[in-house]
Amino acid sequence: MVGDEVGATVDEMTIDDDEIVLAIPAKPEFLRLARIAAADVGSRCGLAYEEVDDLRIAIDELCHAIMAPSISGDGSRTLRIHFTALADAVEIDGTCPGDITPRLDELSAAILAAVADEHELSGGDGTSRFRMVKRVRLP
Amino acid sequence: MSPAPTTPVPEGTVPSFAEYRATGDRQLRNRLIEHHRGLAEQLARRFRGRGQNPDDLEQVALLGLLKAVERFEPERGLAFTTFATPTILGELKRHFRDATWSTRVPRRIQEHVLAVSNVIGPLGQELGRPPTVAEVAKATGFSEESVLEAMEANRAYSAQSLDAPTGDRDDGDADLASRLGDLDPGHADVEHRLLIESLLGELPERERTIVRLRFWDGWTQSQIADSIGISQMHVSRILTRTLDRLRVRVEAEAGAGADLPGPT
Repeated sequence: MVGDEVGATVDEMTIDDDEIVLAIPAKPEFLRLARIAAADVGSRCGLAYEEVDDLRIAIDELCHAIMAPSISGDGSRTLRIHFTALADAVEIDGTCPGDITPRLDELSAAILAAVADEHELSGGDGTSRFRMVKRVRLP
Repeated sequence: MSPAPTTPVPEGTVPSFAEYRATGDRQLRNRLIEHHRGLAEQLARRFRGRGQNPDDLEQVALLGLLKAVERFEPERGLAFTTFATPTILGELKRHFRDATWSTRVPRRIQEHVLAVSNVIGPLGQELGRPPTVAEVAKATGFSEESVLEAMEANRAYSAQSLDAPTGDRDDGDADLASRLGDLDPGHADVEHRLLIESLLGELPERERTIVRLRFWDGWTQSQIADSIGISQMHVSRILTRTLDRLRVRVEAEAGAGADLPGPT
């Protein structure tokens, strides 16, 4: 399911041992796969159980933000998510075609401030992006 | 005219309930709840072994007790326990009715969710910190994959209870909405903010409190679980489903404005 780059194009197939790339339809019902992949990477990095849960909440919020409807129509879009397991953190970035700069409402901003150590959104050039980091706390 | 009849309720109970009825004093209410807590615990124990976390059952029974205390009319002559027992049992039965799996989740995984839920609190206390997934796996005897599977399956649990009408808005806890004003003004969008304030205000008191503690006050799920007396997985469940529900409402109600370009 993960690690096989489901839906990725052939020229994107090279990934390192500490990376997972997931490509899924940009629809909420597929975000379960993103949450599971995030949970797996977070668990491998040694996040506490409830921090893994935080990571799942964070990725849900960020994926929803970059999947927001596009001016040129929803059509068939692919959400690509790239998970990297660092020594002391999980870094996740995602992209989705879209011509609207993604933004967070106040609630999402508060949620992400609580569940992620870093997060940013960008776009407006045909691709919406997010990047987030969740650090492993030392016991 | 003859004097009003006195009520044959045990001594010590009538004055307190009568005083609470007269004053509405919350401290008095809490003392009454504490005094009758044993009844709630006893009734909650009857429902053990049916796939529910014992802490969550006790919390549901206490909610029933709270309702009974608030509704009890001592002048009617019933003993409080006679009045409260069906109320508490009703709350427990409603919890079981609502606590269904919203999607088809295999029995094996349902049991994993309960087992994981039951070890997280004690394990965290033993370790003095929240356990890792590997530690939860070791404590339950499951694989890490099964623990993660249980975490995802937890989302599918008892979705109905959150969809129930709330009707218990507590204006005394309006600080969450007011705190929205403290957030980065770069995100300011008055209509959106008003919408979110309104939606948060519609949440049941407990959901609103949990969202506030987690996302505004920075409490961890374990801290909230300990404070409220429910399991960490129940907190997780409430948070994720409350957020899902809020997101659906925000997207539906803000949909008309979605065609507008965002701020640059």
